[in-house]
Amino acid sequence: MTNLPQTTSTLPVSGLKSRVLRHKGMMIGSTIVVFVVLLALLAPLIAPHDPYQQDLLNRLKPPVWDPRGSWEHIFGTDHLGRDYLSRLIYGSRISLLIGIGAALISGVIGTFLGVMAGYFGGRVDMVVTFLITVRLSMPVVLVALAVVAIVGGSLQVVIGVLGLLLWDRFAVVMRSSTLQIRSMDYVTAARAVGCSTTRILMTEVMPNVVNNLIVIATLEIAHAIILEAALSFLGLGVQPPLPSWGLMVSEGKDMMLFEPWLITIPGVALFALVLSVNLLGDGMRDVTAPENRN
Amino acid sequence: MPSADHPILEIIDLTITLPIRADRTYAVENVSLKINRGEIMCVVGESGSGKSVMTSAVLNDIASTLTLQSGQILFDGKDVLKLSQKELNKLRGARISMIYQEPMAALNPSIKIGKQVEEVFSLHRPEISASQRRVETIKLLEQMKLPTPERIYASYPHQVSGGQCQRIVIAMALACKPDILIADEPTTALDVTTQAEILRLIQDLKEVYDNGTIFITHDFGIVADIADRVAVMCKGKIIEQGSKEEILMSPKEPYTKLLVDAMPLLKTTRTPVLDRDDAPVLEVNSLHKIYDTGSKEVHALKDANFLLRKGETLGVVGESGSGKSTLAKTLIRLAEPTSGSIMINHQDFLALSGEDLVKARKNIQMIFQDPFGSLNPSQTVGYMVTRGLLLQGVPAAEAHQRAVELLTQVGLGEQSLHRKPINFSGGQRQRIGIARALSMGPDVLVADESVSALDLSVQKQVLKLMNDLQKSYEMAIIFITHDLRVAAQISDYITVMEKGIMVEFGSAEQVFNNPKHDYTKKLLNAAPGRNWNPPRLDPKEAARIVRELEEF
Repeated sequence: MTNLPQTTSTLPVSGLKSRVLRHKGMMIGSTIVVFVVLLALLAPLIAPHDPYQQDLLNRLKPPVWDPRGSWEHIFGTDHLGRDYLSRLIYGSRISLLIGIGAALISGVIGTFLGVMAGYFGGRVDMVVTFLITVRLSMPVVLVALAVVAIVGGSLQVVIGVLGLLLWDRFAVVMRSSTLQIRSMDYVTAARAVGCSTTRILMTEVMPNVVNNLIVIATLEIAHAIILEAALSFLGLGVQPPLPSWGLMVSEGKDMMLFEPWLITIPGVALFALVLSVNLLGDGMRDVTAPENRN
Repeated sequence: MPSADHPILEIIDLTITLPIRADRTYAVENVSLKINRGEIMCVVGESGSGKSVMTSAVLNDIASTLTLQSGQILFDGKDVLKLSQKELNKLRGARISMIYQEPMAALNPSIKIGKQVEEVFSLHRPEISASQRRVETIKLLEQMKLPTPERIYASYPHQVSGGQCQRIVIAMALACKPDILIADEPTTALDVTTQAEILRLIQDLKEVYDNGTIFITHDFGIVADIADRVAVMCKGKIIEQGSKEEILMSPKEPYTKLLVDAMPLLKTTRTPVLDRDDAPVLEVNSLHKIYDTGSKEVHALKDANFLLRKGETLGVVGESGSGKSTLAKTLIRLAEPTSGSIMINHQDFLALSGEDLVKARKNIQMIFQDPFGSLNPSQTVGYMVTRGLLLQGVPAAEAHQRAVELLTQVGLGEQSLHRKPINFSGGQRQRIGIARALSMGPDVLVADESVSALDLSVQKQVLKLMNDLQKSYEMAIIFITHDLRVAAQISDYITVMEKGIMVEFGSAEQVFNNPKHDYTKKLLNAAPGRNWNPPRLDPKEAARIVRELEEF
């Protein structure tokens, strides 16, 4: 073609890859997340002991770095003599399951509501905005506590309750991104060709909001993990003997003074996982933003 | 008295580097430029030519991603690039000031206009006492020919019009009687008639203040109206500079020749056949569109009537808010008209719904304004061009075949099928948009400001493409534009719209040479560069230059 500027030689994909590799936070975050995911998947292979096996003779063994510790129980044992490392490894399954499960449920609810509100506007938007306001005026922890107290705590209940409570950010972000995309000419073009609304939503709107969706999802995963820990700590989350990190902190709190590792080890694990998921989310936002601008 | 030998501002050998991954090494390369008092220096260039970067260096305010490599900018015997922040603050706004493209964005929306102008006085002219500032401000607003300075003094920016906003921005820029005024595309966001007024104002003020003006623009029409001297920029270099007459009438550099050649003439190119008796493909009868905003009804379109036959183009010309986009939207039923009828091939388009409407949509298609917003960044070009055909039930293989054919016709190859919009330039994207609209073989094509966002040289190519395609496909085109020159390049008939009403309708020739309505006359008079007759290149010569530049 004559006299037209050269097309960009680098494809967007390769640009994305190099941006990911240069983003320190994202590299750190994804390394830890991948590590925890592998732990969770391979738990039965990695864990040195059965996490439920009680051994009352070996209660409250300190971890290996303590002079009284041994390599038999690297992170020591808890008040029932269960191997702490194994419980920690199996606990990662609970944390990830709850994080991903809750984010999935709330993602579906929030995306549906947000996209509908953004695309159709008017009455639909009014109703959804009202729902978001109602949801935002409910204190998450209190409502979760109340619900769990009534129906009883279990893994499924916690996932369900958190999933039903954490969709607000999805809805808000999806609503505003859809609102923006609705007014783009390519949506108008699709309508002018005669595409159905469903088709427009699936091929024109969704692919262009999915970046934001992934970012919010990672942040909500971290949010859900923290909330689960809080609920379990209060005794209204995952029920014993399941090895949840929050529950481990809760069970250790009475012995905090003399056996501090009971709290610090799951605490550090929680901190590291939540931090890295957040880093990953932030990184994804930074890395995908330049594409959005084009 | 400063003369040409003692310029007020001198840019010497300025070079600014772009970040590593950019498409070229230098944003500005070895640029030297002199500005004299009482002179308007127009810097012309296409988008991305480095003209804005160059002027940002004059204020020593280049973006953080760019690095200054070498050069001097001498103002008042001192190098601006070596001044401290404190010295710069004294200079900026006081001795060198700036007018921006988007007047609304240049004013703080939450502070009253009077206060914003006064702030300039309090910063740079301490000799004016606090009580005197109000008087000075009102005097200044008067000088900008603002109708009610007292009222405007007490208004917020959103309460005045875009043209008035730009006058206020100019007032702020001139408050301290600067030696240098930099205007970065100050009229691009304004309507033609407002633009003409602002240009006149800038020229008048130059006489009063005797300042040097750097005027950045992409529009040769504006250059013809106000420039004393002209510098042409291309890919970061000033490739030619000289007096207005030299550059506009006898450019020397091939690139400048090409740019001047790309400037459309203010002359009609087509003469419609008036006594055709074949059936019209599009018949619009008393079309109305009323937007109900709750408190009041807005008549966006009033009583539009026209008919078009095969292969004819109707140019719809008007300023912003004239209802021309509403006309486009109602025609393709993206907005339902309040009343009236649209007949396409004798079929009542407005009566259709459901499946019938989807089928009938293939008869009328649209090309959009923004080459970046009109293509879905997540889909491939192939998807966009074949989509319409597939929806009409055309088999996939045939649709693919047709897409390849169309993309070749609009000047893009088969290889573009699998690429996404990010890989294409603005002009190429507009070609994709045209291919998409043509894929269904429409009888009527609505083009809404389809070449407005493109550089002149690209605009010329796209207009030629549309002209050529119309010859082979014989579709009727509704060509909506704010630019009379562009309308003249493709229209058989022209209608001028004002406040939702078609105030003028006639053959292009008639509207241009013998306008009946006052508003049409006003528009024609406001067209920038109306007294300039750009020299034309022989098409063969032009093609040779294009080839030459490409090799280079």
